Amino acid sequence: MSRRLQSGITLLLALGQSMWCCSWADTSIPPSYHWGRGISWPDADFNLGGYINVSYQYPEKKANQLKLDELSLFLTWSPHQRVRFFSEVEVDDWQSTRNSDSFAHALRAERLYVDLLATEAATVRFGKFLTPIGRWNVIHAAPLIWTSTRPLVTDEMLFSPHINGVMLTQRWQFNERNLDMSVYSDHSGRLNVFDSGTSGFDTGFGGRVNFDLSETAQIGLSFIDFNNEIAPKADRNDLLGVDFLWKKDGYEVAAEAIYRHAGDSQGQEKGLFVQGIAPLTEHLFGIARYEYLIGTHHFIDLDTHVGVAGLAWRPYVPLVFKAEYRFGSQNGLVAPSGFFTSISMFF
Amino acid sequence: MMNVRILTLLLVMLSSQARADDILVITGHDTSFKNFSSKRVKNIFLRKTLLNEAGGGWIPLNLNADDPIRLAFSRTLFNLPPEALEPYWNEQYFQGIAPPYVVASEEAMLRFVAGTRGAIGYILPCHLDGRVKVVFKVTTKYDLKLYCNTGA
Repeated sequence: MSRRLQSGITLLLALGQSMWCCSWADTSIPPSYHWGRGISWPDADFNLGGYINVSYQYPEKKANQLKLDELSLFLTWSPHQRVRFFSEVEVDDWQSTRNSDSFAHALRAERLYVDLLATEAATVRFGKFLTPIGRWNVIHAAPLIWTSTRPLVTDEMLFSPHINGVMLTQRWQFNERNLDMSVYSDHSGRLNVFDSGTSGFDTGFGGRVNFDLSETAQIGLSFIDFNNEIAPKADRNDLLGVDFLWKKDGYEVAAEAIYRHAGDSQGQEKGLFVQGIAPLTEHLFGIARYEYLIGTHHFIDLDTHVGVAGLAWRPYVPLVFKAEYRFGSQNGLVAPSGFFTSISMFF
Repeated sequence: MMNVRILTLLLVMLSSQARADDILVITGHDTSFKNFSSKRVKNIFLRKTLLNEAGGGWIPLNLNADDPIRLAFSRTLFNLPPEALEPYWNEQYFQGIAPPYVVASEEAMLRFVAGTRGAIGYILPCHLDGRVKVVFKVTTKYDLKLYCNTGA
């Protein structure tokens, strides 16, 4: 980091500290910046960070492109021990060699919520947050995931990635294992003032249960009943999901399966993905994924098989380089075959 | 030759077991802590539990990642070395949760815990004094007594 930038950050932190004298935490830990963990300001329980993702896509029979996928800024602030604000402001698909968006149009609030810690095990969340269906959607940030492409069953064509509403989460412990249960209600049609798109939910309600099967394995169940903002008078959809994660010594197996049903022409679809990770060296990992989707996917009949084989190099904790080849059958429309690569980093 | 190797390995493991030492989890005298269990301590140090029973916020502390006491604490409590938890902290960073603050020494840990309501840390038994109270004991398989001579 350049000396000028470092002194700028130090000056900002010092100014901030002088403006903000008191907090609930009587800490004496000075503000600091850590690569991949943002600027932390313990006295105010404040953190500023984010991530960037740049990708190069070379799909078969389509134009290739170099793209600034995401430039994302997180802000966390806890003004009281029971209150936590979180916001993620993102510039999404802003610059590309194929076409570029205006900054104003690309800018959006990806997440904006407040958590009220009711008890040590119960939290109430208000605002805009990620839809808790499966695992991929809630940890979709490019530096966290293993591939540049996203599995079809987690795609926003299937369910909106965001909820605008309220969620209650409660944790229990059974035999030294955590059981987390969330229920939520969505009113995006009225509350989503931060996104001009119409691909979100109109209303919805749902829940999720996550259980630690062991130190290394977790299983989750998700459900949501919703209708889409684009067709609020169409039949409501019911979506069921089950997911599994096992991690040990750098190896990982993740799987998610969904089933969505609506009584009208929206039809039904079901699908899954199974992904395995294996360390090849200390920082280099091999990835293999199989995906399947069948049914009426946004009014199109699909019977799609997809395979992904790739590598991810993580030379440092916040930084990852990814390269993969995607192939399949009847996949051209929703997940075209081709070569995909990206560089992403938490800062 | 193979038998000698196996015997040596067994002797090392047995001597390590015999010299196994505890690490004490500490809080200030004005911080309440009930329902003692390793899962509860894990949840606090993984920042899955942010509030205590009295409604105050937990402020967990760590020693430096290469500190032998931190290594023993992490390997015993989480079955993982500190660096293996970095992917977990990456995920938490995306959710707005920062890892525990790091202090430079056990003495710094003692001062911070004694002076800050909600702070929770860990030290060796030989460095315990009246400024803090012990709320949990982590029994390790590591020989940590040699770090008593280095001072807190």
